[in-house]
Amino acid sequence: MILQARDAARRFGDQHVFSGLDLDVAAGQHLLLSGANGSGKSTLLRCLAGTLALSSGSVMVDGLPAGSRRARARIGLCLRPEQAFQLRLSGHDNLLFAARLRLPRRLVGEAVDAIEDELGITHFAGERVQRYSSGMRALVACARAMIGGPSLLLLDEPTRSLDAAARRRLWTALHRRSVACVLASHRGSDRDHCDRVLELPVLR
Amino acid sequence: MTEPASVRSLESARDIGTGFVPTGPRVVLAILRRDAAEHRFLGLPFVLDFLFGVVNLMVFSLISRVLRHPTRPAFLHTASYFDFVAVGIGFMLVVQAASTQITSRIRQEQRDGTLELMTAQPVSAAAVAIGVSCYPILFGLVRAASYLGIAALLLGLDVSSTNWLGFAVVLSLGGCAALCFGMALAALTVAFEHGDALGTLLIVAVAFASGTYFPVAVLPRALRWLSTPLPTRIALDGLRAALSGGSWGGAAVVLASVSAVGLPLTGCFFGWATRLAMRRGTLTRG
Repeated sequence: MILQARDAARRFGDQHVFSGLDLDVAAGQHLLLSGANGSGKSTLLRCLAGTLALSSGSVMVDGLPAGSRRARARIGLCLRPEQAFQLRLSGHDNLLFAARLRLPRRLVGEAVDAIEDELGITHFAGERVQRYSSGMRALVACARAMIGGPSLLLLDEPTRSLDAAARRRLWTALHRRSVACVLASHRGSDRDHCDRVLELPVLR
Repeated sequence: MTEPASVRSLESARDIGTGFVPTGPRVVLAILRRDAAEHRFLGLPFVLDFLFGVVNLMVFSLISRVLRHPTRPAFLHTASYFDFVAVGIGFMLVVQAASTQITSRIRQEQRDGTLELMTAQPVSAAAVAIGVSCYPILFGLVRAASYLGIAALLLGLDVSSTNWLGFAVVLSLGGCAALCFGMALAALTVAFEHGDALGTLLIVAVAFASGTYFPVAVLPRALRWLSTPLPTRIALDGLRAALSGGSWGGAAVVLASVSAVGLPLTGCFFGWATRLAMRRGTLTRG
């Protein structure tokens, strides 16, 4: 299993977001997180990535505790896909920055060029991100998560702003990699690309 | 069917990239490159800031003509009040970078979600803290050197007996000490949100107590005692000594010691602050 969560729970104050959650995701498997707004999809993704601590329980990534440096090296993360950029830099520069944190120096340029080519963002990658549409930003955010060959991708509504062609390119890239993927989405068509669906109830 | 070359190369990057953990210096350099690239777009604000600095120095140059007091021992090391205050103003740019600029930068990273994104990478919290703080400090050092250069060229700062090596060493070590100060404030910002307000308050206090605008000898006794261990006061004394060809070695040793102890300590402090924010869910403050 690339991802295992056991009896995972997160609460803010006395409000439970999720609790008693057991989760297993095998290598190459795609899991869709579904649920109403406020059901804790993004919170769960953050906990799986290790950027938000669980209130109780555990998450292991490839046998390593979530949040440890070696576990983080195995995860590609895309939260708030239209945000979390250096807006004055180009998409290409944002990708270069991510690649420098995840790849040996000699592979940085090559990996960025390859992912830009694969997701069809080469023609606008040189422009500043602040001039991008939501869809362009989302695509660059997904590219950034895929850099460095993670074993597990955690994507928060990656297709929300994408047009049909961009969605097709993204799903092709994801299937080509046979990478395990946990994504939160409200979009019905994303279900067709996933092996399983986890419906999160609203506990509040 | 053969896969495109771009996909093959990506697959090779993928195989080697999985599990890759970058070293601390590499992370610091990556963040520094990012920030330097981002700030090359800010030409006009830089020019305006520089003009403001020059005008500020001119004001003190004129004040200095009124406040001539050559026999006063409190202006130790320097020939005039302008020489004294120019060094103070120059170095306070570094302290200001360490306090207000680093904290506002961290707040921005929290608001944008880029801090959380960096924390999700296989990097240490200390490397992130140093990386985020590096550009403001380096830029502060460049600003300080430029302002003092202008003061020497145009406004009569006396550099006839300056020990340039000593000046550069003390200024750099002062920058390292200020970096520790900035990282501590960055940690407070991550942990408690209002680090930027604290930074502004601290810079006023430090400027007051370190002898930026007036010698510490004129402070009340209790404040004088408080200012004694301040690295900023030690840096200012060392810079003024180097400016007038005096002894700067003691200040350099103290600042080097402060940096050697302070950098790992504040790195750990930032790590603690990050973990606290992860528990509270405040790593990103939207």
